[in-house]
Amino acid sequence: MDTATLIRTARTQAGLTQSVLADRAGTSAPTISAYEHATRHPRADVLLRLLAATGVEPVLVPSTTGNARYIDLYCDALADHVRNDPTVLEPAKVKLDRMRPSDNVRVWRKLLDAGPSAVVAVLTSRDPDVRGLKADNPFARLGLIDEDIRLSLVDQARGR
Amino acid sequence: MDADQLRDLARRAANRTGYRQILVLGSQAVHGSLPDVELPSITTMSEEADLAVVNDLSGDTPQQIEAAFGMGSPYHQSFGVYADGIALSEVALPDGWEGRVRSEQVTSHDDPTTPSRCCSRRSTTCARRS
Repeated sequence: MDTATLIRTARTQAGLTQSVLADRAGTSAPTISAYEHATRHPRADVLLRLLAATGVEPVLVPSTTGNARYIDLYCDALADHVRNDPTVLEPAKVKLDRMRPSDNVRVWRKLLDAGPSAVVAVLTSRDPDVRGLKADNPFARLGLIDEDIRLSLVDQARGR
Repeated sequence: MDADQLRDLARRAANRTGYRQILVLGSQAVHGSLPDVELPSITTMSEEADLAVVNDLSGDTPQQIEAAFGMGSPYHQSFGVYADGIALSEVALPDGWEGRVRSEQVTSHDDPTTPSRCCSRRSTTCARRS
């Protein structure tokens, strides 16, 4: 979940309007709106204050967990597949059409239209801000990676 | 992911690992915190759920969960959703979270007489740094 969605979800869960949340968190409604539309990004301390105002207690998960490493390794393997066989973008487009509409799905559609280089750049990115996009990639549903290899990536991610 | 998909994942994670308490972290915890509320569609967009085994003695349950239900798994390909295996030792939970968690029993596919507990609460909503 990206920061914009996190704020919007926490606010709607709490039954607050943007104005009420803004009052509680010491900011303005337009600022909340900008955060929820990802046109502005809150600092970490502001994010924590906003979440506290909605009654949410954040649980911090470091970006270096075994799971994060697994997603990186798995997406690297998918990127290799795309490099070797760019025609796989076509079945990925079909899968994408069956996924729930979201910002990430819209971004993936543009990436698939842009071509294999753009797709590989995202799949191999180590930018933490891109991890949510990688997590929603349409290639993972295609069974491109042999199960034995996938299981070895799980082990590798956990250092086993 | 909707609430039924989350319950299915939690049930299967319990069966796979042999543990009876599965803690739902992250955005999917909203399904447990507001079970009777029709949630906005934005809350069901995510394909992934962060699942942790409570009282994991072996330390390898995150690996087991990812192997069986992780990104790219046959489960993901079949059902369109997947689980991230999380070790509770990897996350910072709020003090006293155990007392505030909301639990729900989900019946096992394999053994309907032995329910598992699927625990979640808004207070365990996970703010990933990544």
